[in-house]
Amino acid sequence: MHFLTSLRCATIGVTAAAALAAGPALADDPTELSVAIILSAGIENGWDGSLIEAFERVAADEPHGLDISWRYSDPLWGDAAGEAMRLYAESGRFDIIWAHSTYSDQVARLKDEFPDILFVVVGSGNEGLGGNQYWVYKRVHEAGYLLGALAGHMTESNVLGAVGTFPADDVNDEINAFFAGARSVNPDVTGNTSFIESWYDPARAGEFTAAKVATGADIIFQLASNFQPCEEAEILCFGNFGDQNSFSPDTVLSSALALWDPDIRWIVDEWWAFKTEEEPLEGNTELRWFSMAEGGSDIAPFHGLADRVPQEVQAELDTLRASIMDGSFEVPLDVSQPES
Amino acid sequence: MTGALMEARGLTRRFGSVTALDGVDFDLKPGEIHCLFGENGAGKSTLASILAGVIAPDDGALAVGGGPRRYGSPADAIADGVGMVHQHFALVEAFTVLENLMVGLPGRGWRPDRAGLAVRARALAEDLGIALDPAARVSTLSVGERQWIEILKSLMEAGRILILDEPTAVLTPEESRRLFAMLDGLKRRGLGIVLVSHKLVEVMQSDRVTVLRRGRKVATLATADTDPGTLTRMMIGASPPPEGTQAPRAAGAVVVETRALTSAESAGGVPARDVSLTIRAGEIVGVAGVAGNGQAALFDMLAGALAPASGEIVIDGARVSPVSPTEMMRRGVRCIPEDRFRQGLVGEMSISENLMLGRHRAAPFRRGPFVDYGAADRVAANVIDAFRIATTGPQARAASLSGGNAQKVLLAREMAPGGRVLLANQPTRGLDVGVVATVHAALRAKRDEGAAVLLASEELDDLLALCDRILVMFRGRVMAAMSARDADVERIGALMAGRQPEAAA
Amino acid sequence: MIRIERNPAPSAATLALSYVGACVMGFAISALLIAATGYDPAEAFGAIWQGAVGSQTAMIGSLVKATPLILTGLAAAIAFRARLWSIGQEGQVYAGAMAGWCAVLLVPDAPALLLIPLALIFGAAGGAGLGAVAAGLRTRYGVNEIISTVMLNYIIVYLLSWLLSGGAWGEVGATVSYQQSPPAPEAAQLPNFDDRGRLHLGFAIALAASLACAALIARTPLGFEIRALGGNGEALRRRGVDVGRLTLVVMALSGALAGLAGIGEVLGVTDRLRGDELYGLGYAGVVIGLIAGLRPIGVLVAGLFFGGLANGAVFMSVLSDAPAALAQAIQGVLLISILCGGVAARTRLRRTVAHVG
Repeated sequence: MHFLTSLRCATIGVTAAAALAAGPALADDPTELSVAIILSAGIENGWDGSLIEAFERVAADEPHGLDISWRYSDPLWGDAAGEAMRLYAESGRFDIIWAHSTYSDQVARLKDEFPDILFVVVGSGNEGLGGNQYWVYKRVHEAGYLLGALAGHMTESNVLGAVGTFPADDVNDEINAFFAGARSVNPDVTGNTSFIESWYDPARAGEFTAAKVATGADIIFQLASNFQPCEEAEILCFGNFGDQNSFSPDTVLSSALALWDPDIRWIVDEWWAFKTEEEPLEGNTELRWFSMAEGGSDIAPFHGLADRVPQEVQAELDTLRASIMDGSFEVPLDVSQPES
Repeated sequence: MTGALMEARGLTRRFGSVTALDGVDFDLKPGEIHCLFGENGAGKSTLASILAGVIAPDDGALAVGGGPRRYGSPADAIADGVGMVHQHFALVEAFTVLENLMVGLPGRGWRPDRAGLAVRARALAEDLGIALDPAARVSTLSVGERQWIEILKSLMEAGRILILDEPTAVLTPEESRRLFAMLDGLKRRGLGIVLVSHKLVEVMQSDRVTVLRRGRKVATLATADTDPGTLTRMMIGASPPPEGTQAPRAAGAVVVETRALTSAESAGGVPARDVSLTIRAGEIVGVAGVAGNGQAALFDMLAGALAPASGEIVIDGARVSPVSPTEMMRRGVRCIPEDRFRQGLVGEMSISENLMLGRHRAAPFRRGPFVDYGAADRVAANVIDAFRIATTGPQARAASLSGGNAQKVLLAREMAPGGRVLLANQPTRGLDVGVVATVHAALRAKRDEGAAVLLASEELDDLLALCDRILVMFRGRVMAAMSARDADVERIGALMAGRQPEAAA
Repeated sequence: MIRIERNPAPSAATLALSYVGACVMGFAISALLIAATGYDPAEAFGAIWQGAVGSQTAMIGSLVKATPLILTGLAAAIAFRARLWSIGQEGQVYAGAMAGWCAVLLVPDAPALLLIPLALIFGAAGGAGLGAVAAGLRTRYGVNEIISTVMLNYIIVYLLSWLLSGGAWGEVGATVSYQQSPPAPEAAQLPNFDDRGRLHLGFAIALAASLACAALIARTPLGFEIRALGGNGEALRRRGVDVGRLTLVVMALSGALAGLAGIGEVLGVTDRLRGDELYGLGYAGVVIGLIAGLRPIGVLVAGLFFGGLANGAVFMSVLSDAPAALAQAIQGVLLISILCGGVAARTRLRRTVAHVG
């Protein structure tokens, strides 16, 4: 947590300097926004780590001149998460409680008791409660499609594997897109998917990945954060949600990035409107997600492995990405359970 | 006292609130057999264990070869040349004789010298007149042969003083004779031998005897200067209870009948084969035979603990089916099992709870939906009085009892009213004269009550004193049946060994 | 010379002293651990204390967390008393939750007065049924209960996972969720004792079950048979008690307690059927049962202690800078300390004097 404390000090310093430069804000408008974040797996995990990175970027940008600070919990689940949310709420120190996974059951028990707090739940498995609960959703299927196209070009065995967490709506979408992208450039590709049935279990992920390698897969879409088997088999793989190249620089060619910046900005805007324009908090009850064109996702750079990608493949990939960004190509959304 | 191999002064040892040994002096000379004699719980085994370094005394001093000793473990004693052969063997069944001899020997280097050891073992065995194949697996050996290994092991490790704790408890009479012949040989070579025993026959073969009673030394005597009667009085502190006499009685109706009763070969141990017998109300039927000739299987089937492979059991004219302990208990069959602590008592439970076991759902132990532990304690207090059980009270754990006192608890439980058949397999094994008399009295009382009693014993004295009829079992079969009045020891002995005397009917 | 001996029947004072000493020792080691990792022990313990008993909210949270631990602890204690080494509490928690859920699915529109008792009975029966399977495997086929119960745990946990993700019981609709059922109907949710709706009927059940188990063991014929089976099953069998049937009864009883823990969590805490909220409750019960020395009242005390510690851990991770992993480490240290305390209570040192003459 020392890391976080120093980060917060830095934020305060930068904000102070910026405030001086920009001149005084309106007298009654808030200048600080404090966020409590409930994590489900910890920042080493792509899903959680990418959120904190996005918070850092957005905070540095100071939307509405706000000094955004945050504090995140250790991995908490179920009743313990509810307990922690209550503690954060009762402390009166937080404006937003961002519960970064399936926590709408817990939020349902708190949201009416704390009407001035904006609650955020994230991803599938939640319930759109509306009111002061907002529901952030993340789809990185466009990035998955791009990675699939890349894999379709690069594979030699024409066998691809995917190791997922749960067969959830927002996991299925990117795996289906990955294989669709691969087949779009290489119709001979076959592949299969396994789910480790856990959000975070590197040991199980390792076993399942090794099994994929054993069936001949030479590129793995790794959604469960264990690259050890890929290293051992000396094959390429893709990470998920965060840029996971640093985990295994010789195997992680790229990652499907979840970029939470537009989501955070949306929530901050909603909160700002609630505080300054007395707009009521009217959380979404239907899914809301930001596309790649809107900055909600992307693929990570190749880092040290860039020379492994042939130039014509690189060019084709750039074209495909551009067509997604300008809307001329829409990646099909398929949330059915991938075949294993 | 010069010339003593071993000398002890004022040895004291307490276990909780019980003083097992209280200020006992003891000495052992080279070339003698010194017997420790006393009732169960008199402190014989405790004294022997202290001498062998197995347990440490709370007080007192020990000297070996003139030098003071404080043994921290049996290894210290072995280093002094003191070895002990325990009642319960500590052999690894899957190992060969030689491998068992190697276990625990101080090794030189990392590889034991197998060949050298085999030569030494064979030489020593020949010296002692034992035929023993060092390559034989222990699991294939008889109980007697296993004891030779234990003795051989002790001699090889130690070699100056040999302590034997109830060595004949598991031996056949023939094996016992050979053991004593061997001990004589060792004695002549200058070894000191401590022999723990409660059998007068054995005591009389020793050179000196120390009699213990309730943890104290009564006396140390030269065996030649005493006689069995004196020793018995010293041991129990009084004259033994008189043996009842056998009055002729009219035999009652047949209560138990077995027809070609046979147990499965796979059940472990020697099965009972084709056993047909009847037991009438008011008689005691004896089963003679060396233990391990199918008696256990026969008794287990009659107690319901073992399902017969074929044949049937009829009680009061009705065939028992299925054969289960529940069913047998319901029909009034009670059993004093061969292995008191394994089959009869719950060691962790109190005396009163053990007395209640199996009757705990019935009066007087039941009060509404609950067990009446108060009533159980009252019953236990009465039993402790009536059977003179040496213990701290009804709450004492059964595991804290000596063998004789444990047997009294079992007797009291199994003799309780309601039982019409009493089975007793080796009920006097390992017990001293006092408890043996109690067992005999109990079996007679049950007979006089009109119960059908089946008694198996290796001690022919038991059978001849108690039984109306005697069967002899060998390798699972009934070799012969005879009226006790017609029985003679020679003939039974021959049948026990599997020989059919010519005169046999 | 000082010798170490076994003391099979330690006095109550010895036991109390050993356990208090063990706790002090455990906290001292934990404090060192916290300090060594660079955090302030006083702050961390303060947060744990706050979270365990510091306020009404905290106490209620502790009791809620203690509830399933007490029930699974009792389940373990009852089985282990009979020397039946059932590790099946984990699966029985799931089985109880699933069977209770069946009752909810069966009559979802029934009034609370009918639905709740029915769900509880189903839950108990579900756990009991799974226990009975292990008992049957043991008595009929001689399958070691440790192995069978662990295998059954896997089967049942994955059965639930399949039912929830396969869609049969899973939530369907726009949100497309995974591994959880739709919420339970209002009438099925256990009544609460506090105005925030946290402390549920399950706690009263756990409390009553502790007392009932204590009475069962100490006073009833069945309790006597359980202890005798644990002491020497062969002697008990030979005295006419049907040990196979007794094994079945004990395993079913143990399973019923674990099953109640499962359905209690579903209808009292999560208000829907989810696997991850039940995970580990059974295994925790094994540990609780052991440190309680297999005594029901001890289980109650140990369950409350570890419930408080679990709730305190949440507070610590939120209120202090110390990471929650440290809270788990503290729990582990305390656990081992208390187990050592139990061993220490059953051991004694004797001074033996040997005069050399």
